[in-house]
Amino acid sequence: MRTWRAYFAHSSWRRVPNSLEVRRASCWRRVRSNRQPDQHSLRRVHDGPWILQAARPVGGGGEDRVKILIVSDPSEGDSSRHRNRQVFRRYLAVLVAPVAGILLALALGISPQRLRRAVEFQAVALAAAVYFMMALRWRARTAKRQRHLESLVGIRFTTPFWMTLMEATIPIEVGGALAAVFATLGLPGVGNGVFITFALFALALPWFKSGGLQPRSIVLERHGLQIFMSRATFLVPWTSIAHIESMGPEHFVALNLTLKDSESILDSAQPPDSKAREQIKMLMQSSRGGGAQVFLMPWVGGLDGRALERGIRAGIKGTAPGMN
Amino acid sequence: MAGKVRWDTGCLLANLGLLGAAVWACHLGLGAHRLRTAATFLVLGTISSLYGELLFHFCKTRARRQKESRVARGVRLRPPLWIVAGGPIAILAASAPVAAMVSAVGSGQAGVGVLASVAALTATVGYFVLRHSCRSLAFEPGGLRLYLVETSFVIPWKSIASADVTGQAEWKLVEVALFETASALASVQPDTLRMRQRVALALYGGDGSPGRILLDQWAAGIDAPVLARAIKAEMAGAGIGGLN
Repeated sequence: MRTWRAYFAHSSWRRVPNSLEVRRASCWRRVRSNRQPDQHSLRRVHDGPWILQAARPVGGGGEDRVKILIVSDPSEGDSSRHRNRQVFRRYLAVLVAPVAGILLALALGISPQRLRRAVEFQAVALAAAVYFMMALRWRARTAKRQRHLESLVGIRFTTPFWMTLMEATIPIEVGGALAAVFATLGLPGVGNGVFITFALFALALPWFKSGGLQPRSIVLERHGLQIFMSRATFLVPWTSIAHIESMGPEHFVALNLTLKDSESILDSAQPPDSKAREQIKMLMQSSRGGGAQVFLMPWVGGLDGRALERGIRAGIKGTAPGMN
Repeated sequence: MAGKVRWDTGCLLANLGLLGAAVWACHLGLGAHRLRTAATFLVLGTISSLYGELLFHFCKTRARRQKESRVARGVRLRPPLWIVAGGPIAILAASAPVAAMVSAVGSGQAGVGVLASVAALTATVGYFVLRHSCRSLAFEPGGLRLYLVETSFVIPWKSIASADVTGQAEWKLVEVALFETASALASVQPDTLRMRQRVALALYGGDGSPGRILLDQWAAGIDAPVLARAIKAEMAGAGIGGLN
């Protein structure tokens, strides 16, 4: 049997299915395991979110094993069908299972009055899930709009409240469903405790993200990327970005910026005090080459990762409209 | 950093403060049953916080002692259990006041629910951290042997580019940068695809390209600056000092 292995920029070696779909700009290409892959044709597939960089035989003579280097994760494919399947599985586990439990309890003769709390928890989880699904659609629409913007220069991008709320709904959903399970088992008090814990996590999530670990808003300016943190503002000049790397599926792209000179960036911190520098240092990580790296999580500042990547690349090249 | 209250101290103060409030409320005869349950959680939290405080001071002493001694060669060095236990106990110390407040306002069951869910989340996260982080290691003549769950591998001294201390003052890590990962991947034991995948994930590189590995605070029970210095000394001994 032929084994396919793939290298992912953001993780490591993984086994991939025997057939691998590679998305191109306009069509889907299927690379079958029962066909000897043509190295050159694979190397030419550069379009689309799954960029095949190279395919070279590894192991015994290259007959049985093929090593494919790609920079995205097929398990997190960006096709709407794949995404829908993921969403469906998630809701099946989190929402349908507790409902089935409640129905089973009713069938076993447990009084509806006793199950009231379980139904309430489940309703909260369901509301959170519905909000998340709606917000996913809004976000996809936002991504589409942002990707078609001619220029991103001069616009201050800040994460909208509905997007912040979206992240908080995930613990609410899980907590509500788990609490419903406990309430169905006749332990509504434990359910309360479980739900409160997850609700506190939900409240803490946006605070962790925008309260210090990630930028609150960003502006692509003529000279560089202006980043606004909760306590500090600083400019990453285009000339100081050595390398930009994107990771993650198409709808959830994170960016890793490798910087040449972190000291001059730290010097540009406003206000110029130690607290501001400390916060910027939390965002910057030292990299192998002696420089620094800035990891921008997906949808930082409410901006789609691909759109931001395009904006930064245009900024580095100096080709973005409004820059001259 | 001066004047900043440490997390453990903050937890201890919160637990003690709430415990005092609960005892006072009990004395006034307010909801004695609920407050007793809350006080139980707070006593648990106070004990955990005290453990955290002691751990901090013991670790400081240990670090001071390690500065003057040499790291043992050829033996597997593991973090002692009393240091490993510090993580979950710190989480217990932080969640006990929440559980106490919830049980004082609601019911004892709710407090149990808070602690149970925090414990479940901690166990889940801890499982993944344990699976993918190197907590024990051995200084061998050929290189640094690192142990992951079910597997071990050797990073030759010549493959190490640098060993630096990163992170915050309270959470120091050792970042070992590698020129190449091919030799480390070739030394994986047992040599199976799954184990190689796991090692490649830990090395941030599976195709032989440069990689890096992060060693947790108190990995192998050694203070991060001491560990970084010991690795550097071995690199220099292997003739690598001149390469940098």
